[in-house]
Amino acid sequence: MVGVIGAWFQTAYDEPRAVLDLPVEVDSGRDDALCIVDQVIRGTGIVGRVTGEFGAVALKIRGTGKPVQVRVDIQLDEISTRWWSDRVRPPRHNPERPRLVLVSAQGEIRGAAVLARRQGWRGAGSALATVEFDMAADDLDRDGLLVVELAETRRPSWSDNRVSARSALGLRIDKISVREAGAPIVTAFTPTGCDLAVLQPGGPTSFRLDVSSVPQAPPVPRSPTTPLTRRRPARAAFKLSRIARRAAIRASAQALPERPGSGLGVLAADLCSGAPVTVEVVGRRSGSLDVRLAAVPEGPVLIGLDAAHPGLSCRIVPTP
Amino acid sequence: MWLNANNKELQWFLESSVVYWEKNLPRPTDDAVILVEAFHQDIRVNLRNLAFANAIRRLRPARMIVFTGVEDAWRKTLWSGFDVGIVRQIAEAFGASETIDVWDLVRRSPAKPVDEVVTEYTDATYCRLAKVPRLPADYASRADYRQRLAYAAALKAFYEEQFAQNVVALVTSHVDYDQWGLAVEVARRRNVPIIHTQQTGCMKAYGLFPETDTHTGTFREELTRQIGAAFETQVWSRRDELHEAAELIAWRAKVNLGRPSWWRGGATASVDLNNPAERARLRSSVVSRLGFDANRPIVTVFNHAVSDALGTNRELFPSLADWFSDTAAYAAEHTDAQWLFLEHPSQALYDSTGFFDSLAKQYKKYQHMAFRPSASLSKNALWSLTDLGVTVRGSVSNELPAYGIPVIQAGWSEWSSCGLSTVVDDADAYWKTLEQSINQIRDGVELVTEEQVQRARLWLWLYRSGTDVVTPLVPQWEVWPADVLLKVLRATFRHIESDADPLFAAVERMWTRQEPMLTRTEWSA
Repeated sequence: MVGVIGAWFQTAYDEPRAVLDLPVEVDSGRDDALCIVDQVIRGTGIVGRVTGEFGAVALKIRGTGKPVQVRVDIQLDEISTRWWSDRVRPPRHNPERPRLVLVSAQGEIRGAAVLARRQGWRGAGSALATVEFDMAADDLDRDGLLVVELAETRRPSWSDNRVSARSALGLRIDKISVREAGAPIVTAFTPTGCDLAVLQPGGPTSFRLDVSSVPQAPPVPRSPTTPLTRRRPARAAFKLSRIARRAAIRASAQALPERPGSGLGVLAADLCSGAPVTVEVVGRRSGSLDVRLAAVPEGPVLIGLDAAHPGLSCRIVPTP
Repeated sequence: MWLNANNKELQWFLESSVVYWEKNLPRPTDDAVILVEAFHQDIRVNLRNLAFANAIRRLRPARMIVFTGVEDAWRKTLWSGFDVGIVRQIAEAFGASETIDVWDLVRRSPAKPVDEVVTEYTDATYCRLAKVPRLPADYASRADYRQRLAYAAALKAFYEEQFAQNVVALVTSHVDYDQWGLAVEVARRRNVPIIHTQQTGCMKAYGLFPETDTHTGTFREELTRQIGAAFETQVWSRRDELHEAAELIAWRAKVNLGRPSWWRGGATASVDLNNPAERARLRSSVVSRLGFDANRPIVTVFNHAVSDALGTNRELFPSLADWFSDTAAYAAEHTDAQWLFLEHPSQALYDSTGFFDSLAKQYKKYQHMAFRPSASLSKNALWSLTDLGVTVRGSVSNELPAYGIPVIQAGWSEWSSCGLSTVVDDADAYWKTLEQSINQIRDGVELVTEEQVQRARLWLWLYRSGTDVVTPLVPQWEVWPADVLLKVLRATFRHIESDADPLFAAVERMWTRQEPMLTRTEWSA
């Protein structure tokens, strides 16, 4: 039905598409095989940066008729937060919150990522995330177009005010790699830098959740909008006040770091539907919880402490 | 005029302009005048009017009278920085013999008679300046409305007085609202040629000449008919010869090059899709953002700027807001399609009532309807979703058919007589055509013919190339900011010889043949 439209999209001046052979590694928006962008600005040293609540790119790949493994590297950096704040205009005193995004391919949800920046004395370091997933042989059709999308999740209500609104906005897609399926994908779990973590589809049902202290995040900078505040003296004053605020928050985190208490609980929710996922804390140790899910997750699952703890960071450690 | 330019640059520009036009304009030998408006605060708009008027004055020597001024409501809604003093300086530099602050006279004018035409223009202007889609219920008793009505009556009386002179032509950037529209009405009644310059490209202009004016509709209705006829005889008949040029412009339009000044720009305005398979693949990703099903028809309804030039061309519904809300009500009942309602990107300048948001709220629970701001979807996403576009006079009715996406128009636009889209005649036909089109999409019937695609691409050519006269006297719209524009013009006035300037040749062609469009090249030969 929808196949009819599109026959006239081509003009006499369109260039033929470049097609890549496996294995594929695309790390620049200038790559000829990166043929379609949807709410993504192409980069030179990166694939691109998302400009909206959703952002997708399409690569032209010559499939081999076999299953493939896709790896998507994403990053939250300083420009991401600036882009986000310029478009969202968050309340002035709201601290920077973690980003939570879905990663889809060919219109199907394949994974999710949580990104929280490491807060330092002078600035924040970038947060990196990698999502890897398998695709069936027929997912890459004869046309060979692979559409990878970063998208908003459906979130449970308990995550309100704990996750950034319009999370995909400003995120970088650093690299997309595609290769023929080989050994099973092993997810590397690192500390997330926030009180949330993500389990990929089919992820472990039993794991240890290590909880440690992290410095809290100050509010994100806002670009001045009035002629007066755009001038140099005003901007310098804003910058100084931002530095002072950051140092004060950092110093207080250093002096009185938030410690994981004994009464911590865990919540879980399916990120495709936002529905709660049954989760149980089966053991507690100092700084870690033993967690068990009732079933193997079909979609990506958000794991979070049962109350907001902006000074704590989680790390999933699979247990046998 | 609002002109954020370096004062020195402005002075150099004015001096060089005075010298240029002194030597390039013949002295008038009789009492003929050419009337030019300068009510817009953007210098680029006024430069186009003044340059065109001077090109006519080379053919028919005449004094130039410039109408300017700003009224409080216009200033408040649109032109906070309007400076009549700068308009005077620039008009004089283009050889104007008189610059009249029309609003100053109107404000001091005694009460003048109100007629139907005055009321019509008052209504449209009131909606525009109050940024409301329809007149409020108690409008007639409102002091600000009564004030507008009195102003419009005084404006009309002023124009009647001015057009009693020996007027060669009226050159105007707009033909709507009180300050422009009433001048156009008087000019038409007094059989004065009207030149309507355009705010895009280099020098683009339409013309309505008394000899070709049938007086059976509004200025824009007349123009739509005449443009349609010219397209048929001068463009469609040469389609084979123009094929390559039209293809190149279709490609440029696709990748966001050479867009009209008011088209969406930026990285999300470029289209990369090349075939049905790519469209289907992206569609399968994008539909989930709207909660839609990729396998069912999606109708995209493009909202217009709701208070923009109401009633100035043929429309099937009493107002643009009525069309949009009635279409939403129809969509609510018709679950056989999925309906994407898109807000106009510049609506903030045209609506203060939250019309779109309130409609979105009203239909929030309808799963087959989605309301989104225009910029929330890239053009790639939009083209992958839209199986049928619906508009009154939006430019999508040209853009989408050029790439094979059907569009229904519930009203007329400049190009609506050129056979690109499905233009319906009345509301009944509109509902029937909608229903029929949705059924046909579901059945896999192709709604756009090859001829429509070719016509739409030829219109792209005509709009962006065929009727865009490249002359150093009118730098392209994108030559900006003001300092750069003034510098380029200074170089033109000082260093480029005027002999055989394309502007003068093109205006002579249009003027002597009374053609509805200024054209880049000779067509009739």
